[in-house]
Amino acid sequence: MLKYSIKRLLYSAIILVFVMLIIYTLMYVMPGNYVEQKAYELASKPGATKSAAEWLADLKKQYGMDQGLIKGYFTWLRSAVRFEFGDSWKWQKACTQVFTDRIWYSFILNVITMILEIIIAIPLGIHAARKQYSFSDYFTTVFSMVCISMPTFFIATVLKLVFAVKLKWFDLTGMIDPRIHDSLSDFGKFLDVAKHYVLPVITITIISIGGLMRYTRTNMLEVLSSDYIRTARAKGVPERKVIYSHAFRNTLIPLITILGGSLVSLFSGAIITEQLFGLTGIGQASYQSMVVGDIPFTMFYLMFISVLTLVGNLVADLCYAAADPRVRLS
Amino acid sequence: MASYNLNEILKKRALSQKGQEKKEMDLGDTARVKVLSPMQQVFKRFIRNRLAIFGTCTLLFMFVFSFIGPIFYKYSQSETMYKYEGVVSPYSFVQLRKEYTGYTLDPEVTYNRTAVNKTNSNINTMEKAGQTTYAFLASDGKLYILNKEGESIYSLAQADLKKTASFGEGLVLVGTYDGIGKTVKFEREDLGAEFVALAAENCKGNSGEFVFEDVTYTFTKGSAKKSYNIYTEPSEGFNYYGAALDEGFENAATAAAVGEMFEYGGKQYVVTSPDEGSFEAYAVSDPVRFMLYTKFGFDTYATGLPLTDSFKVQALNAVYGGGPFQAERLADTEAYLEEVAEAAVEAQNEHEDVAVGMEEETAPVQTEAATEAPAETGEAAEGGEAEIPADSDFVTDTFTITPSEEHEGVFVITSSTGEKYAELNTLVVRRNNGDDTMDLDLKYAIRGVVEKMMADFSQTETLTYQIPMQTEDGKNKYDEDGNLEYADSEITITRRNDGEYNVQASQQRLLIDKFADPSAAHVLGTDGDGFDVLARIMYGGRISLMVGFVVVILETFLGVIMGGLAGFFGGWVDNLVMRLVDIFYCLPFMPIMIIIGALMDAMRMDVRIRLFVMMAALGVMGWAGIARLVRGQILSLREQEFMVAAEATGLPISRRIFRHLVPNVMPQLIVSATMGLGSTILTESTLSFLGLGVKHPLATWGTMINSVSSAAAMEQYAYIWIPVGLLICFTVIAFNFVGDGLRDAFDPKGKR
Repeated sequence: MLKYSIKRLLYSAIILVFVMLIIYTLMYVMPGNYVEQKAYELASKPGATKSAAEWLADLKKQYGMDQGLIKGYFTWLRSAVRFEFGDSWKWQKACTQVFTDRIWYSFILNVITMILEIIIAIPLGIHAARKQYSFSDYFTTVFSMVCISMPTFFIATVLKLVFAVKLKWFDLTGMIDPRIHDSLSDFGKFLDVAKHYVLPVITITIISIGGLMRYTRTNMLEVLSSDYIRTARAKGVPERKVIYSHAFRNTLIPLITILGGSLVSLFSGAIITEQLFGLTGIGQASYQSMVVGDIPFTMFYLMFISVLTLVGNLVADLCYAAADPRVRLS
Repeated sequence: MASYNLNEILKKRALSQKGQEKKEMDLGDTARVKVLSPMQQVFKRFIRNRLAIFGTCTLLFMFVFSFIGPIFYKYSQSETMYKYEGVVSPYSFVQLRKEYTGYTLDPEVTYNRTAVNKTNSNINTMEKAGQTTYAFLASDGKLYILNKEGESIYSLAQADLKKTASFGEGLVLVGTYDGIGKTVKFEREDLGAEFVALAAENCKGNSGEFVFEDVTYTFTKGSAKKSYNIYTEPSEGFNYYGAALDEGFENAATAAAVGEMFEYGGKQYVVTSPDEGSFEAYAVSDPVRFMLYTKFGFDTYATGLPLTDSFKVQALNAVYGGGPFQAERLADTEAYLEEVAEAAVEAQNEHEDVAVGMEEETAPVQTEAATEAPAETGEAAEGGEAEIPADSDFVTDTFTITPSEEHEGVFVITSSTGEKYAELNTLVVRRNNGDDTMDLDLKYAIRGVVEKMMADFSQTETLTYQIPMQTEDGKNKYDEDGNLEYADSEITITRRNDGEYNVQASQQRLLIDKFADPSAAHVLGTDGDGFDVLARIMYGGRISLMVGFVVVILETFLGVIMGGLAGFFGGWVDNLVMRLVDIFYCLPFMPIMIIIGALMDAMRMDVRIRLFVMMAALGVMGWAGIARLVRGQILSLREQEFMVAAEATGLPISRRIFRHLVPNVMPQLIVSATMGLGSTILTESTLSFLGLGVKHPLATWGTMINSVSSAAAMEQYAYIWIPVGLLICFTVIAFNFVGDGLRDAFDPKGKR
């Protein structure tokens, strides 16, 4: 297993090099005057710590934007290996600093949604599979399909309209209520932030719940139609025991696989949701950086996401092997 | 009620069933078993799935709605809607004229400006004193005579003066001593060189006196340098500057008031008073009238007809002078008015053409710049009264001027043909910029209200009257025949000062119909650019579906080629393609699309090119999944007997791939393409919502929601974005249902 992991890691590293080459190319083709203009624009904003010329010089030095594509790419690669990503233009800070400042907001958001997702989706999926072709099965199928098909921004806008504009329970955007936040006690502050998390959490939960629900249902159906379940039923095992002790455990194998894989993506942030609800997580930071052409932070974030994806795949495979002893890693 | 016998019916049914059974086959007949082709089976299974049928119907509706709907719908996606709305703005002012306006009667007379400028105050003094004539000396040594011709008209005449005599207590001017030339200019008789020498000796300082031949002379410093005015004590009675006149003259002069004219011996004289108690009499030559002053304003019966100044003067001259007068008028009034209207209509049309042309090019920035040019020409065409075209033909006509029968204090000018041409009125109504482009009827309507307000001292009154409608740039609107189009408008008249009134009108102006509520004309209302929402939803659907199809076809094409190659050839090809697939799998999809969107923003790419780039990018990013699927299928198919058979019969590779392998992958491909359509539409709408996908003049569902997603607009314009959002949802759901249904139908036993 260790050997397998190391092999996969090396393999992932190679993939990463090529992925980053594609992304670097994308950055490289940005029109030069656009980059310069953005640099001047951002440097002229209040609170700018460096002049535009300094930014551009940094860019050249660290990202090799003035050299050829391949040569420049290796310049970047050299700094990236040393964890030197330079300073973000948009945030006027080191990229890693922005990352550590914001990652926990995104992480918390994703953890809560993931827990909710598991609590809601898995029981519903199992229930639907147990009573295939019943009303609740149809309902679950349709509901999961609706969830999958909803655009994030539409759910977010509807939620905002209902709960923020009409009912005025929550603020439209932001992490805190700026009017009262400072006057609150520590616990009050915590509640204030928690309140602002409600709508984003609901949004992401709705979006992601459908897929897991369908997956659970499909797997449960497959397990329920297998021979050992028939055998168990034939020998008179109570239905409860058949479902929860024989079928459910086997359903868990693929579930653990995908959940294990998505553990890593807890750090990835939710670009659109965070932007729409004004959560200062990593997703919002990256969105705003990408839109203004902040090359250092964008490169950093994309690399981060790519690494997460690769690690996620590896973790999923390892989880699969761990959950199902029949699987042999090779 | 019809009778109903159950037994009979049952009997009949039994009979007919027997007959049928006889006609049909027995139990062992092979034809009894209905054999369905695989496609028929798939179809049968598919239509049994209710959700799939729902999805299919929804999709059919969407296609009809977005591809056929726009053909029959009257608005296009970027057709700006306009409506007339009352815009309250200052429209005109009403003034009861108190100041007199001067018109030059005789342009050849040179006059003293200060004398003429004082006219209004002089008229005031005259009116207070009840005088009809007032004469005064101006610094140019000429006499100006203001004469009241009649109510509201005064004439100003100029006359040359000759000093005849001075009388009263005042000093008599002997002469002026010029200190430089050492000469004396004598006003009366010459006193000789001795006097000059004495004057030269004494005239120093500011003033003083000296004695010459027992007469005391006083002198004061004059206006010119080193010049002194030398006076002497007046002798009793009259000191004549020329030949002495008799007592009759002296009596008349003494009796006459200052500034008053009197006649003596067939000559006109006037008395002035240069100092308290001293008087001077002047002989007056025949006065020449050179200015006319009036409180009247001219209103023409034909709206906006230009009047020449000479016409005005002639008319004013004739008001109290009576009788007909000859004056210039435009040769062909109607032709002129038509010309003006035509020019305006042309400007209007030109503007519209430009606007329409620009719309087709879909470049909003350019539109603004381009519309400015015709706006200027429109202004020139509407100059109204002030400008008289240089090439106009004028003819001389005889006019008569008579007091109006209907209105007091109004004079009507009638042309020789008996047609009412213009009229004079002291209650002047003009547009705010001073133009006279208002209907006479409208003026009278306003005057009526103003007169009532003057009578009862009210501050504000309103009335409703027909006022020309305006185009979007504030010009009057003409119909095709060049007539002004009128609409009832609310007019508010407010008192500003004594005799001055502001008129505010809520003029109907063509405005972009922004955010109109749903109505019969616009079922879902209009959006922030005045576009019809329903039309944009239709066109938006077109683009969204089109994007979906193009992207899915592209990614399927790429996926099948790459997957097919990998699966069929295996070995290093497989390895290479699969590593490429791994790389593309790892690429973060959404961030890359956002970056590409921002990049296209930076390049200011044309909206249509943008659309293509976006479709290409989505396709390139999405092929990896399909390639993996195709490869997997082909790997397993490759080992099956039929492929061995195909190879054994010596079929060429291309035929083996495209005739034997790919058709077997088709079911999976169709399913994944259907699902892919849904997710592509979702991605496209998300990007458009973020403003990074399809851009403004082109409508897509995402952009439409984006345009009203601000906190304020969200609630107010829910009728725009909720239907659009639901359409996105329903389309994606439908694609997913159909995809699901197809999957079940193709492979009923398989993993769901």
